[in-house]
Amino acid sequence: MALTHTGRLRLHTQRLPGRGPGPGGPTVVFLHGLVMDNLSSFYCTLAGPVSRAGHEVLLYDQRGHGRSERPPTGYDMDTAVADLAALLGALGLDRSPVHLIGNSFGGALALHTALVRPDLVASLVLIDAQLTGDWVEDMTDTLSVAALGLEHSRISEQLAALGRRKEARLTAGADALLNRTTLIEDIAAATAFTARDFAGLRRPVLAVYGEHSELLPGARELARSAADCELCVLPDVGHTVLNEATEGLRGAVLGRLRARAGAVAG
Amino acid sequence: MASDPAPARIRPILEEISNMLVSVVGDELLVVGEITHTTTFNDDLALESIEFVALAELLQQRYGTAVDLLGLLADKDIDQILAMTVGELAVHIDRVTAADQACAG
Repeated sequence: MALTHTGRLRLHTQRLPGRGPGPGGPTVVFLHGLVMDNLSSFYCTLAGPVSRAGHEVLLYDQRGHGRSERPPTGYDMDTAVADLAALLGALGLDRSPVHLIGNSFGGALALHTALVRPDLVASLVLIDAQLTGDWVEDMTDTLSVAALGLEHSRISEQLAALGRRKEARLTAGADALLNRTTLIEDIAAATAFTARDFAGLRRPVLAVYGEHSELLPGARELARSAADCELCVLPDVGHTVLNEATEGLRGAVLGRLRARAGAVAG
Repeated sequence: MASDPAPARIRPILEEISNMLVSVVGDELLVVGEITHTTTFNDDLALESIEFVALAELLQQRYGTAVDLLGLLADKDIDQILAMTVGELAVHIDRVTAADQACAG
């Protein structure tokens, strides 16, 4: 298993070469969502097509997720950006900016990275990311309820006793992350993005959202306020764009990367 | 698997895949019992997607870039791949590595 020691922690990484006579250009780095997510959601959907289109790809499990190390603290956005910067440095990918593609909370993290470390970022793709409104409170509430349920029902042990190993492992991982790290309090300390943040954004953005997503108003505000933001709304889907509207998302992302490669070349 | 085209060649591949699965998932996989060519990744082994990614990496280290499970995802989604049996994967590996050697030769 590819574990990269960043000097801060060990992160599970997967790198794919850009294949075929594609455009090359900046490496594409994928940022997955929170708690139950890991790099496999992008590995199984967008990573292959992006690699085959000629772009070098980096996927990694964020702190505490998937097969990466799970330290007890450091689940705030600034630490996540520092983890990303350290990883890019450890892999020698910090000499030129990268394309960031983030799903859900990974998209919010991508946007935060572009605001605090624009030197790392060539462009952004945000997939149904939490941006405005009460998302911090909503997410904190949802995670807190889940944490209580996991702690008191000992559901992981029950599932293991029933021989349902996959569910037992998944819930044990979520239990450890929610009840034995500072993740929930770190998320609770986050703040929603503002129109001022969007206006200060100096990197091109593609925002891909589900037609029925509750998060769509935030994306519309981003598209209004940011200097260079294209909003792509996919029909018949809510928040789960990556898994349920994969084809439409793939088309939008590959088209965008092609256009960016042309712009960089030009 | 209705027929086994090359049982003698497939058997060591099956064994290697079994060892890789134990190294990816851990000893808890041993309680499942022996892994055979009819064992499925999803129903029998309850393999998670992230474990599949780790297995794909080990297979590529062992058999080379011809064994491209990511390439399989171009034709099938992850659920279809996890519905495969270990035997089907072993046959796939045998086929692509044999073709790769033929090309190299």
